[in-house]
Amino acid sequence: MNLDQVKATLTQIIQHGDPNFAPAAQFCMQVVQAAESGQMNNDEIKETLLDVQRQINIINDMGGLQLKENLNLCINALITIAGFVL
Amino acid sequence: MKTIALALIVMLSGCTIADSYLLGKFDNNEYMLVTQIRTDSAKAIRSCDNAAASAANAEAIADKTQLLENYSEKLQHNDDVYNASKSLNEIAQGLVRQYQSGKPVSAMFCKLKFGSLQNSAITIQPIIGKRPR
Repeated sequence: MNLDQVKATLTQIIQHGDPNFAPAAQFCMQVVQAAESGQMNNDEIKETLLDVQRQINIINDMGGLQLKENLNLCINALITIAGFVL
Repeated sequence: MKTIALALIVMLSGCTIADSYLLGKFDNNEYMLVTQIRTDSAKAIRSCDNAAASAANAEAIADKTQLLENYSEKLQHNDDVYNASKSLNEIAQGLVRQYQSGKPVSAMFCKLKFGSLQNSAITIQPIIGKRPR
């Protein structure tokens, strides 16, 4: 994947508008633009790119928790429903 | 209706029910810390043109992310938030390391790092806030 393809993919993710992944893609695009314009040195570019991975890890951790919480709501609702009918 | 309700409960395996019930409860301190990190990051972005102020802001926010990581670690059934808080702390510690290296830190790097902290706190905050009381 070349830089143009990277930018096109990031633009697609940004336009998709997912509340978690769109800001991460926007952040990644800012890193690319700052690197291209020479506003950051190599250490800074490397560290900010690591941040993209850290943000994705956080989204993954929190996504799993959201699913677990949704499941918890379903179970509580089912128990309540069962309480009414049993 | 009774049969359907019973069938639904039985369909949810014992492990799934146990996993769901082992979900951590809402914790005021955890929620407050992540809200402070979100708010402080947003404020710190505005000072990134001032290197001395930004270095102090970086130290202050890294103290809070470290506190959140340490606090989350020992709460029961809290692996997901603990893992997220570890990643959040790594973001903040990376910022502090740059300031401590003695090399000049660009304003753009400062803005992106505090932006990264803000984005991540925004991701974590609603999940902690929706936890069962």
